[in-house]
Amino acid sequence: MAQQDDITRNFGMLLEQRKPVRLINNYRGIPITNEARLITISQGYVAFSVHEYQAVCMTLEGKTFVQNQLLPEVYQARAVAVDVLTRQAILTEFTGVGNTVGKRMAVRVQPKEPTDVEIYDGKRRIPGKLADISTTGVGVFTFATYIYGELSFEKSENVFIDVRMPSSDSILRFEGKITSVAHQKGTFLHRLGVKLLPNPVTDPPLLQYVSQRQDEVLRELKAIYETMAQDKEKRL
Amino acid sequence: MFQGDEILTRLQGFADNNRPVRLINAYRGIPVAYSARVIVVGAGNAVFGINEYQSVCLSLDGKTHIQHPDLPEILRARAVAVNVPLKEATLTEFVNAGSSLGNRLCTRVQPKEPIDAEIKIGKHTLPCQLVDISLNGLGVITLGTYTYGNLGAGKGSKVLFNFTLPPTHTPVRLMGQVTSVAGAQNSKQHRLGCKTFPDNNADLLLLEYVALRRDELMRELSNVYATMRREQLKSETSS
Repeated sequence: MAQQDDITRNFGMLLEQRKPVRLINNYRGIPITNEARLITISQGYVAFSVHEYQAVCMTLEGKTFVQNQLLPEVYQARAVAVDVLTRQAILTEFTGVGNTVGKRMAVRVQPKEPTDVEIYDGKRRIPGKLADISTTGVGVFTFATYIYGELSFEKSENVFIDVRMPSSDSILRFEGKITSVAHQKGTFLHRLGVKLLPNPVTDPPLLQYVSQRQDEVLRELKAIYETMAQDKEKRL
Repeated sequence: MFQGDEILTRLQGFADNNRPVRLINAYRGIPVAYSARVIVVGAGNAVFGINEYQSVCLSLDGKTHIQHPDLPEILRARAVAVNVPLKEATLTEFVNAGSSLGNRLCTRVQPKEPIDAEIKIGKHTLPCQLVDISLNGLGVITLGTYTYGNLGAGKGSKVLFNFTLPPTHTPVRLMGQVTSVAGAQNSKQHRLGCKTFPDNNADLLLLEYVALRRDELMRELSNVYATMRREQLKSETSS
């Protein structure tokens, strides 16, 4: 466990060497990670100059993760003040959270509209709804046990997933392996995680859909930054 | 116990009888709680007609709490799709979340910048900073143990605060009682949660400050809604 003195010393070293850190947040499933420059350190508080999108995320989440190769681990920090207009943030309450944060930076988007899917294992075909989707995996909710009694799909099983793609209304068939099955107690609801196998036919439209949703969400984030900055400017 | 699938039956009843529920979220410490209509109940999910601000919170949080007098408990649900322009949300994974809303309906604002304050614990007066403020509570961060070695405050300790609140900077003196102490092991920094007992003067100043920050944050929420709506409509037109 990192001690406060060590953390302050580590940030002091980064400030002295003018080394930037990397801040990690998340906006609606999209990892938002940008460099940030240390400005000053005072009594457990560290002021950073941050990217505009990071400022919005920190404002909304109230926290961030701080990463640098010279730091022994990633620190989670609480944002106590974020100035969107000047793009400055004051962070405190740094706690070490290991080094796994920031390793899995896959963009996982949520559909805008409820999206129908079907899971098929060669024998059974069960309906569900898309929870989220990335270029390497999908999350699916299914209520199928209401009709079929038991789910019968298990971890590590190979399945086909037919997704009615929201953008085109066409159905894409993906092949993958079930990596998780979560059952909501007292209900017929299950959530399945499926790792998709690479496929030259379905990969391009999937990439296009994920990129399109990512662009939409990032455009929204940029627009929210502009809105927040304008609002702040008005109040000055 | 009120089970998951009974919840869907109950929601279907609300839809059939046109009885609204209340959805509860928070935007930067401000409770956002509006009534919502159950439009349709499907296989494991339900579609709700919701308030515009709720649609922003659901988009950002990905979850909400549901309250209705006919529900034995508050429910928690996950949002799988939120359409901001249409003001509709599809919710799933309904689970019981206890019988009381706790502090969820309590407005707790963050100052724009931490406010310097003094906290008197026993004989010691320590510098601290206010990080959240409500009408009957304060969250503070203190590095006081740098000076005194030991914080000297535990749950239930009586404390006294002195600080000034923007924009008038009128001095506020506030009695309080520690309700939580958090601090990383070996850390000299602690975060204290305190219940406060304002007198009439302090009450008015706190009310004024909390109302001011709430208005600012609600204006921001309104702007964020307008932005999200505009962006989603734009992307619908272009796709």
